[in-house]
Amino acid sequence: MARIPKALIALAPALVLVTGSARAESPRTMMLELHGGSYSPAVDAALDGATPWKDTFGAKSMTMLRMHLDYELWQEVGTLAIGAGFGYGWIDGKARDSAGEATSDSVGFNILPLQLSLVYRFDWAAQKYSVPLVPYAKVGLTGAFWWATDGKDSISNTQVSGDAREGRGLTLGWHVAGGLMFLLDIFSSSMAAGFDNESGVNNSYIFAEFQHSQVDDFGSSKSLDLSDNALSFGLAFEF
Amino acid sequence: MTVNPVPQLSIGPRAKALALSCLALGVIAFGASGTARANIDNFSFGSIEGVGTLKGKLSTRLGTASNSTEHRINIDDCELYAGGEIEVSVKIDPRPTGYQYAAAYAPPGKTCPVTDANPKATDGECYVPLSQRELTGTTIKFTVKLDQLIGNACDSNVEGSAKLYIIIQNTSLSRVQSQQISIDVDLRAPAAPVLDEVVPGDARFTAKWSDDENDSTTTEYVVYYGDAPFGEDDLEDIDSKSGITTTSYAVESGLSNDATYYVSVAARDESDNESALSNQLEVAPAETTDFWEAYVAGGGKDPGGFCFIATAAYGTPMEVELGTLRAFRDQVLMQSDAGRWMVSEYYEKGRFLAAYIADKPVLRALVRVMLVPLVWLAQVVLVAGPLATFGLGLLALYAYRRLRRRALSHPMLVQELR
Repeated sequence: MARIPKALIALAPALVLVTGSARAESPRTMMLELHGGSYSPAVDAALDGATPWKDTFGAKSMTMLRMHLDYELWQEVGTLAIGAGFGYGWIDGKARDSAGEATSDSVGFNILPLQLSLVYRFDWAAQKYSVPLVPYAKVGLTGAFWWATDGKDSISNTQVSGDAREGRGLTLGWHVAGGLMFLLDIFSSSMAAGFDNESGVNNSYIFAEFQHSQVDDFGSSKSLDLSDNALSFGLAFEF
Repeated sequence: MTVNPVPQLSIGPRAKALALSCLALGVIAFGASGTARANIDNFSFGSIEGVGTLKGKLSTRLGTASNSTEHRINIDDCELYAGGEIEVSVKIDPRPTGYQYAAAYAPPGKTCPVTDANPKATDGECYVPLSQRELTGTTIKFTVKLDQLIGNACDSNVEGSAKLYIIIQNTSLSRVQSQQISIDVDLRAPAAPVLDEVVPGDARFTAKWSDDENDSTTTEYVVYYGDAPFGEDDLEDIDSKSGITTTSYAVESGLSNDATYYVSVAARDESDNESALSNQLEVAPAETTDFWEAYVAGGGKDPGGFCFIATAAYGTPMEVELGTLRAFRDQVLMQSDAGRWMVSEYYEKGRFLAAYIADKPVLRALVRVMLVPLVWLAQVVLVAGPLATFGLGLLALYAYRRLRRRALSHPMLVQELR
């Protein structure tokens, strides 16, 4: 120890920083987000007084699970990415009898949204100064496949003036979202480095996201209105 | 126990190894000869056929075909087979020469001796239709009285395995081989389940029952239902659903709302013995309204189905989408020389395409699908404005070029390219 030059000791912190930053990260390319949350389509709001959603499903929200994967196009002051995602939401309720009372027939509604998003994450501070918070925003297009099931767990069907009306379809729209990610790596930088070395995952986050989805065929009055303001939470991995 | 004396022998290591090898070979040879004594070489099951009044009336449960490996008699069979006979045939091919044979059978819980080709018949225990016959062909046929084979009354609740025996013995009496064919005699009916509730639905009902008595891994259930009360004697005339392995079942076809149905359940074991009927409950299905029906009834206008394909196929206009494209034409394209030129070219050449696809529903549907991204883009331009969209385009172009540059400078990729 006594033989180590004093100059080298003085340079040690700087070396640690340099070597640390050099081996800490593999190239960041993509972000995978796993969302869990709820969703309550504005079906009733688009109708003139009728409340089929509330009558069937009550005040419950749909359970919605989503996955989003984006490719990072630009990494300077923050990260700009383009991504796609899909989800699956479902809710079960009871069919009503002629008096409007709940019956034992279990019926449901399912939604499978596909999303194309442009994403901006302000991760400059996280990358540069290890600030663990990353706000972000998304905007994009949504196409939501949906289907309603009857008591036999089949696609619901009904007739109006002799015309069949099938309870499934595709409704288009757009979405905008904002969220805040919390960088988990700060809890154990060595574990994060190991995760990066072994799996190529640079950063792990938990996040909360608020998303406004306007899914009504761009304002069509002849479409099922699946719009909602929804909150979701989840895990994200940047790799 | 034969190993212990070996260290006491005054022999060298090589001799010891030789002795152990001989001992091992002896054990193997003994085992092999034991196995050969137990089973007849080249034996195969032939068939079972009904005799007299049972000709052509045997249940397939009895395993009558030549490739059958399972043979079973249940309560119904027991009643059907009363007083009847079957002819069993087996094959030994190729046939060993210089052998005699015997055929015997024993009811459940009894056995026949297989020490020679002359087994002793004992009433109620072992029946011997053939003994000490010269084996002259490859097929052996013998008759079995089913009452003797079953050996019990059909309502005796007995469950066991009856056995058919074929024994062959060479003429020097030094070698005996035998083969058994087991026939499961199951005269025990499962216990009746308890029907707990029958829940009505829209032209459907769900029956739920409990069963604490029967083996859940081998028991199936039958749901019987009719529009009048019924008993055991009416089962052939009423509807049923069988092969159910759970303890609830939804009947969802062939029912009418506002009719009353009477429902019972029975358990069925692996021998197809059926229990007595459970208690009987009644149910009245009634019309219900699900979400989609309520939406339509509440004035919801979504036609359902995949509308842009369906709309194209059925020829009605996509009002919103067309409105968006028209707005894009008027508010964006018609505001510039280049845009006006595009519109002019479209109306000059596009109408031919439109005329061509007009009577081709599939092609129209395809075009509509292809138009969707264009409609989206038009919507973005109309909302964000042409400049913002142009900016987004530039951003995308910049991102693409950067992406390409980064990909080309990646050491792994460069290495691969080389």
